[in-house]
Amino acid sequence: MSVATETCALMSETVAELPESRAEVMPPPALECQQIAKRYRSTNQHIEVLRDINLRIAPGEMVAVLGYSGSGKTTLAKLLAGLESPTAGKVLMDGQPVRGADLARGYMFQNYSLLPWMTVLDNVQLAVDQAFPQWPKSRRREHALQYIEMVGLGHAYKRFPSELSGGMRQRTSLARTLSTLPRVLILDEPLSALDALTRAVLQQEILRIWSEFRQACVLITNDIDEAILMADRIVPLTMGPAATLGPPVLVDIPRPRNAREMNHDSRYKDLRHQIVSYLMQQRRQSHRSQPTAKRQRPDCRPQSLHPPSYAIFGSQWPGSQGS
Amino acid sequence: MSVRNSLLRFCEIAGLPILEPLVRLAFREDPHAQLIKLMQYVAVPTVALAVFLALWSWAARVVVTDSVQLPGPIATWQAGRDLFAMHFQQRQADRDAVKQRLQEAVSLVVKAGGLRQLCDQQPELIASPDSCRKLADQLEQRALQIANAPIVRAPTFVDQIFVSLKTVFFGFLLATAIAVPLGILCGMNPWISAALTPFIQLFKPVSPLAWLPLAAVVVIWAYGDTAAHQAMFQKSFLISASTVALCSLWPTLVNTTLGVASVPTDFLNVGRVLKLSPWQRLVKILLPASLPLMFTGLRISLGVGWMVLIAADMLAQNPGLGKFVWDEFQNGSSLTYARITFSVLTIGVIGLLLDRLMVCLQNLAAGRAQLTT
Repeated sequence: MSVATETCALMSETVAELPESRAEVMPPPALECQQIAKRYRSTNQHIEVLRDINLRIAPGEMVAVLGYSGSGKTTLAKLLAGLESPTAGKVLMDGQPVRGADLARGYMFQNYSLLPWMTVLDNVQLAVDQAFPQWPKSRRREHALQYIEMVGLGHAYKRFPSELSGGMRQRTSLARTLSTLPRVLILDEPLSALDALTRAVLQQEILRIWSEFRQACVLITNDIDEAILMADRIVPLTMGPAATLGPPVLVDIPRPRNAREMNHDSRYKDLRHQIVSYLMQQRRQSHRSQPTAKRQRPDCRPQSLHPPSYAIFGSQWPGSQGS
Repeated sequence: MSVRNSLLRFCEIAGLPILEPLVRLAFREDPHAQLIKLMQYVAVPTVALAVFLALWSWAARVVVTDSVQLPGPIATWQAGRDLFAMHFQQRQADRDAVKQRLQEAVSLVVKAGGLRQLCDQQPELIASPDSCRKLADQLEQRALQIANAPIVRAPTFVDQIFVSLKTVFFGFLLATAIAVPLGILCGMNPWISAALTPFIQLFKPVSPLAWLPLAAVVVIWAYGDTAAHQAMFQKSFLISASTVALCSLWPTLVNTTLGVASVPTDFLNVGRVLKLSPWQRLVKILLPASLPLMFTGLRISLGVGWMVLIAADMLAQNPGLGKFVWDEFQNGSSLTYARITFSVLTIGVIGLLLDRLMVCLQNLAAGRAQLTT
């Protein structure tokens, strides 16, 4: 209990700190959510996935949205991208309400979503063709190749997605997303389908490329270490249903960050502890708020308390009569 | 890609698993496993075929009525050989006839030339040079007529096969041209789908024999004023082909609808994120993603079309395999049943070949759009 109170104190501190330290310097947000709610209508009930989501992402800032699986992270990402529209509230980009998906917001899919009948180059160039139709064809091709080179797939641009490893597919997806020069990046669990080693490599790769462009970026993830390594600010998403954003946590570890060195950094340990305890507390609360229904015991009694000496598929144990 | 891999890929795409163990055996790959596969694909079917032939011969000896006897394998084989021999004889006779006609035409032209020369050079010998020239012209025209006149004869068995193939492909193309665009529309738009579903459900189970009279009415109406030699197609051909089209429409339509409607949401989201126009969405995402299912539908359609065609030929009297079977049945000669049996086998073999062709196309289409994620 003492840990929880401590965390709460820490949390409120961070929250209280935030407006003061950032208020004067905070530029207008690149992407903003105002009181977003998302409800789905199922056959006989409304399911509230998200409620009261308020989020401001400054230009050049990377914000990680961290949450349990099934808490509505992907729904939030789709709302931000404009693939879905909120039931209530508004998504604003540069102060303008978002209507539908747009090339200005690059969206990176959780499961790559490469078109399997196109090569790496064709997949990337499809995006480039859409973003820059005014360019001549040769320039679009060069541009696409440049981004494929940047994610380290220069040797594989002729391959089909089925001939690529998971990491290479996600690199292609990254190249496709970045090649349209989006002003805001939305990364929807980009690395959760990859194995731990590939994930570590790609985290650094994404950071390296992102630090060149410095778009405003929303990283949706369920990996605390990934969030701390990559983000400027971590916003936890509470347990669903009707998830909402918890108090944000600033990650003040200077960049470039190194995953191995960070393990020994006391600030990293504090942050991790703080976030983990908040999420654990959330989980306990959500369990408490949903009391489990009392289970009815089955209306039958065992015939014999003696365990059978061997298993058969019958109604009676051969040993039970004797005892 | 090595020779071995390309050969194996060929076997896979051509739908010829029989060849696969042979290729692997040629490259000395685990001979024991290959021999087992050869047993499975070659030896077992061969034995089964032998058993079938034995049963057939036995049945041919048993099933005998007062007037006819079920033809056995050998009688059928001989009938088939005769049919092909007749075809080649007929071809030879045709060639001879053409040659003879050409000779006749050439001799007429020569005659006309001589006559004209005579008219021009020695006009004093001829009463009226004008009528002389007219005569020469007439001779030349006659030569032209003889050379160009079509050879009229009864079609042979092989001719009938080709007419049948032409009819089924014409009907199949007609069905595809209607079903694919409609299927795409239905798959893309649930409202259109809702409008068309009742018709699909209603007309899908209708037999070709029920369609045929209606198709005939429409064709006769459309061609009512056109004289036979001016029409591009024969009426019976169009009736058969449109019946085939009406019956083979549905599998393609249903499968295309399903294919387009079940394109993964992720791919559609890619299209939305990249702001693809409706046309690009169709060409870059919907069509490639639904191609495998569409080809499955086309394959079923061609199979149905071939089956329907035989019945339609019989009824419409279109010169095809169906009409051949019907005519033989009406003839009632001693060879009738052997010929019909041979036609049955031919129909089966051609159906098999058509199906293999579609399997090949289907594999090619699926190979490009592997849905591995």
